[in-house]
Amino acid sequence: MGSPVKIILMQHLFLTSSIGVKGVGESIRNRLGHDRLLKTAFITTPVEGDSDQDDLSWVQEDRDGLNNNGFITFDYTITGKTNDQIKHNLNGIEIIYISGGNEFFLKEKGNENNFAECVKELINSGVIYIGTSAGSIIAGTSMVELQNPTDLSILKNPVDTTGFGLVPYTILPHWGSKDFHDRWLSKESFNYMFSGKTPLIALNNYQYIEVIGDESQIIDVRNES
Amino acid sequence: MKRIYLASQFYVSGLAISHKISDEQKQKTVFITTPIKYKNFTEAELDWHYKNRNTLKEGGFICEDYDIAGKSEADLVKDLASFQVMYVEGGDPFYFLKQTESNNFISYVIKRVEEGMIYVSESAGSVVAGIDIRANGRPGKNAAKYGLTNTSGIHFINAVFMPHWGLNNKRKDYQEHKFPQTYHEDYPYMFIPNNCYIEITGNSFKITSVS
Repeated sequence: MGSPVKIILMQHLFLTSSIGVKGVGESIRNRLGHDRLLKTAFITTPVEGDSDQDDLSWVQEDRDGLNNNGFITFDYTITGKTNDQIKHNLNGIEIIYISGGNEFFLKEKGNENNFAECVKELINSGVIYIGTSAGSIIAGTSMVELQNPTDLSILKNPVDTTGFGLVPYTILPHWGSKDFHDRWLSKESFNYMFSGKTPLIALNNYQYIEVIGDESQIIDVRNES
Repeated sequence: MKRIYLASQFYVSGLAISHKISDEQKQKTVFITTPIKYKNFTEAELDWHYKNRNTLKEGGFICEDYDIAGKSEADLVKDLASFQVMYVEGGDPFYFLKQTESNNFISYVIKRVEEGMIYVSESAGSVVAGIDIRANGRPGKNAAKYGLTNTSGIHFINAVFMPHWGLNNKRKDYQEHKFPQTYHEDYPYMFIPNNCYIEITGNSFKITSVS
């Protein structure tokens, strides 16, 4: 008797700047064409590492963007969990949503329980990945271009700057937003970004990338009726 | 289904691209020289251009040069009908776009690509293939120099192509001009290093890095 055949499904990702922005969640729902409620794990770990803990209103906006479109969320953090616990707790989900926040913090916590492997196993079994901001950045191969002192100050050294490697580029979220002007256009940020070897794709809050297998497509919800 | 290959620097990624195109198609390649015609270069300044030509040759492309400047729409239809691959060279995207205004080149190339012609390009040729070219301007190479009021590109991809990302001799241009010029909530912007190219098939794209 041979070993069981493992079927690997084509990955399906949605990499957004902000799913809480009007039209983004609706657009993703339309693309999936789902007419039922989807069990969605809302991974909150990047939020724990966010440098501005006094204003986390955007987390609820993103949660609303999901719940209002049939992605019924339950909050989940990987902090302090073992690999087995994560696999057990996320068994049966249909969507894994990685929140915005601090992508390096998520990577650090994920290194303690090999969360990247869990994510890949889930995706290969047909679970759909939705990322917002940090959750979209970490889907890439490299985050070395996005280092900044604010995000790194709470981390161990050396900082791990590798992403999950689901796509061969790195997302720059919230492009053009006044709130992120200094974050993206500072001389220090430019120097990090320009010294990298990775293609960068800057998306504003109305744009996202849908990835099916290794094919990507950019959607701007302002162009959808 | 449209097939398009947008390189940042063709002599770096061109051989990888050449493997994706059949020998039969490569036999009939038109080399659009227009983007490089914006000024007179010294031989020493054209090292990259000769490297691109050598890479095309090494990759099996048999090229005929063609300059669209001064051509009519009827000229394009007549002169380019037999080509199965169009390679658009680097240079000045603003000068190139200006030359397309009088002969409806953009509509022509969209139609030909829909019919099966393969579009291959580098730098300026890739910039013009994108949604808009304005953010690629800098002093001496910009829309105002040619009186361009419409900087819309071919729209083969719904993003702005920003070539030569990370290249040291482009750092100043990027830091002082191009990078801040992208910071708007209008288009997606793709910053592409020289070792990468974008492959567009239908409405989707893939980015490939070559070693």
